[in-house]
Amino acid sequence: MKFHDRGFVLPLIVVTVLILIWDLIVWFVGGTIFPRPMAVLTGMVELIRRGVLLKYVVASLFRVSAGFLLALMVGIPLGLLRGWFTRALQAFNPLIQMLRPISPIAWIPVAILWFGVSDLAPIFLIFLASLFPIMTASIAAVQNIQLVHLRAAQNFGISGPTLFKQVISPAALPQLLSGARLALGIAWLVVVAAEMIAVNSGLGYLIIDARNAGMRYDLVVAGMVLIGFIGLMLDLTIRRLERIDQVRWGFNR
Amino acid sequence: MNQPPKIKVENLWVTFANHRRPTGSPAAAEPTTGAVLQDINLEIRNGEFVCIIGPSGCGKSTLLNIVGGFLKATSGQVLIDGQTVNGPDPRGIFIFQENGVFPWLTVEENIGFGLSHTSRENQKRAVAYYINMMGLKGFENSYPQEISGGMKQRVEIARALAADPDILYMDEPFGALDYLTRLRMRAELMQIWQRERKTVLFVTHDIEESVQLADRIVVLSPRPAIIRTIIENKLPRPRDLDAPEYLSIRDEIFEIMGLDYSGLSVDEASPDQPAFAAAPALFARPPKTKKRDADVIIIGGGPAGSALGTHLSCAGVDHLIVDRAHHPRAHVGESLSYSTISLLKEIDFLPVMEREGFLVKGGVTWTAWDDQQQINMKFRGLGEIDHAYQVDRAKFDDLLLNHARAHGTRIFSGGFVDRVDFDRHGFASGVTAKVGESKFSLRARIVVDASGRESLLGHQLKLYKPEVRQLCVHSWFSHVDLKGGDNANFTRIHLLPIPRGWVWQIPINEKTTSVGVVTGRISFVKSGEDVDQFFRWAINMNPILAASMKNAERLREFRMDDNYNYTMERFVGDGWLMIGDAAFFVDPIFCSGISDALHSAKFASQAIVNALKNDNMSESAFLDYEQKMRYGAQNWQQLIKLFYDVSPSYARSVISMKNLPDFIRLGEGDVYSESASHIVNELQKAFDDNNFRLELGALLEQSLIESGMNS
Repeated sequence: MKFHDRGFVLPLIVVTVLILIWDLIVWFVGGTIFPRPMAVLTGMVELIRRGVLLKYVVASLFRVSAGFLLALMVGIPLGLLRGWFTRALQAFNPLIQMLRPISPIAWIPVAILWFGVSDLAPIFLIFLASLFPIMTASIAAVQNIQLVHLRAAQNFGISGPTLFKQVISPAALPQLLSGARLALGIAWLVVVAAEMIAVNSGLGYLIIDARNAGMRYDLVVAGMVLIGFIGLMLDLTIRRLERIDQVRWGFNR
Repeated sequence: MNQPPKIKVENLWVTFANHRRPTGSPAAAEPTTGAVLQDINLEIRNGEFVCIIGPSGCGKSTLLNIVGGFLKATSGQVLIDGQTVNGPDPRGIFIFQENGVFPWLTVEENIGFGLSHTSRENQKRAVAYYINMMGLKGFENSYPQEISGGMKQRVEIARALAADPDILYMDEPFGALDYLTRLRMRAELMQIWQRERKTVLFVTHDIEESVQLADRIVVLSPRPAIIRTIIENKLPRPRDLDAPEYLSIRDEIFEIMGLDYSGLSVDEASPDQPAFAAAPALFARPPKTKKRDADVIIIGGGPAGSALGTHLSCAGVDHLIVDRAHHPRAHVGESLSYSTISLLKEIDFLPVMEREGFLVKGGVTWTAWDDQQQINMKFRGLGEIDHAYQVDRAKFDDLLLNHARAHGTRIFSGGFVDRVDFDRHGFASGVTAKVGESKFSLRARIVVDASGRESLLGHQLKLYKPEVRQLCVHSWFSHVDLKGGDNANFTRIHLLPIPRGWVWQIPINEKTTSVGVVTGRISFVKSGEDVDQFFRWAINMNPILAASMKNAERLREFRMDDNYNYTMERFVGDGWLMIGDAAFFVDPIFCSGISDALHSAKFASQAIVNALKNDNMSESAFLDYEQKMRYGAQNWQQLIKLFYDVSPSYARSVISMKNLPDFIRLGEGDVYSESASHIVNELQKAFDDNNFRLELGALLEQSLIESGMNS
């Protein structure tokens, strides 16, 4: 990624200053457990040398991708249908509204029971976590389609599956994308939590393992920084999608 | 003409179940029917360009949506090529005001949208053709959000034309565009239509637009909409916006619509600018052509305002009535005094009275509480016509207002006048009115306050001066037994043995009688009763009255008014006059309300015509009017005071034969002169001297029947 704009200078200064303050405080307090920034950096280098860093990142990304894509595949069609056939599918509303506020973390024991200590448990949790934002966005996207566009299509004699393909889907797309972005953010939050408990690889596992096996807080913080960085990259990637011609109209308002 | 109509609308009715009450109308008492369209019948020929025009919210878009198949009518049907419309159909394509171009498709893809069923080749050719025609070359691959509003509307038109429909439905398609773009789009649409000859049904609320575009213009009334008229527009194309024929059609529609803009959406207008300039859709011309909205603005469309409107129309004065409409009027003044006849004749209203079958009032009957005698005063012999009328005021007022409209008065219904505006020289310069939540100002050279007993200007300038305070409780009744064949339709005045107390009975129609108790306020307070009991208490004081009310049933709520008898300190000022009840209001014992309204309207119209002719709008121009009105107000007050002073048995009090004709003249409403004032004074003296103790009743009856009043 290139820094097109000059807007990066100020944020860079802020980060630098904060790192300096962090360094100063730890140096001043003089504890040995919480690492100084330099220790974090060397920790990261150590992880790369040992060859686990890439492995863990890939493992986490794989789980997020699998769960997230699954949620897209299930959530979008369900949401669009639910949004279009408002009356008919009203019955599902209480169920959705009740399941939605249950934190994905609460599902962890159930996931382990069903899927054991394997990739399937975190994938299931990520699927659950991202399903609801995607569905909610899809329902809203359909319901927010402008009447004038539906009428215009109807006027040209378009109905049924063609209407879905030519009007409803493209009209809903921008809002779907917003929902997906939100869901991906949540998915990335959840994967770390899931990996701390349900598996023995990934960035979440890295953090919990570094702490349990010798209070290696330099590695803990290195893992945290990495999680933050990858989360940022994921968000920027999906934001780039918003500039595609077919959806850009939905973001210029 | 022999070819069958392309579109045929038959007996179309639309009612919405949960119909919204029009905003700005506090008339909670008014029942809201849900009707939007009432019995619309319309035929449109193949290739015709028809505009549907009407005030905002009148239902013209609803009509278009029904013809286009997007909405269902409550009853009636639409036929296209003889087939009933059951839903939208590609043979008739809609063009929407809010722009129905798909933002996720390029210009090219949008235009080809309706062609997906045809071959690639054909699609490409059609798209290229319409891109060229609509001047969209170079923008084929642009997305709608990258082009201007006017261009987007071109894309939508191109998309419609590419599908090759028979009919185009256009729902205020240029409404969202700026003025210049709108003008250009109209011209382009005209060129396209001349080339393609589609049938076009075009909805707009812009009069200019309709005149520029249409072969025929269908003018709808406010909701519930009926077709007010259909105007043929045979002007040659391209049309010259400044040609006199063009302007005359425009003005014709304008008059028909009568400024009937209940739902007029006007933004805050700056005070220096005519309001119509702030409503660009209505007056889509630059504001420079109009410095004011009318020479004369009349506040209120009651009898005074309507009569003045008619007078001014006849005199060719440019004027405008701002009427709140939809508002129940105060229904006092149901019995017209004899002098109204000649005034109504002057404004050519008597034929309407006859046609509408108002009850003929032959005279007045007086009764007292302490004997069984009824004194009948007949109008026989007073002039060519020997009767007046009893009227249902709601109906009468409506007819009178429509009469003014028919004579050319512009009427701005649904506008609440907030205040009269004054310029920096202290001259009235117009009014600030409200439609719904939006305020705007109307400019004029003269403002006439005909706002009735609300006395808008009187309160604004603090000129209000209450006289003897009287209170009145009245309602409508059925089964009132008014005995006496010939005299059945007389107005009954029943005297009561309480200070300044009497009761009217006015037959409104065969079944309905208006009954009202008038007393000093103190009587009501003393009685300590609720309105119902007070009313019964009063009725039972007079045996004849009580007998007639034995089986009476009340038809509606009691109304109570307690602001009877007031006069404004001034009736005129720089640039303004007050007429009718806005100027003064006297106790209704002489049935003088309508008479005063009509008299003052007549006098005011003379004053206004002169003022405009001499280009002098200052108070001095209206002093003559003020003087006449002052005599009227004083004479009435004195007569009424006399009546009450000499009461409780006025009818049996003293009066000389010599004065009788004069008295009748006064009592019948001719009070607006110095000579009338002398007569009142003489009467006063006669009463004071108490020289004559003769039975008035017998005298009156005898003299009226036998001697006649022609002398």
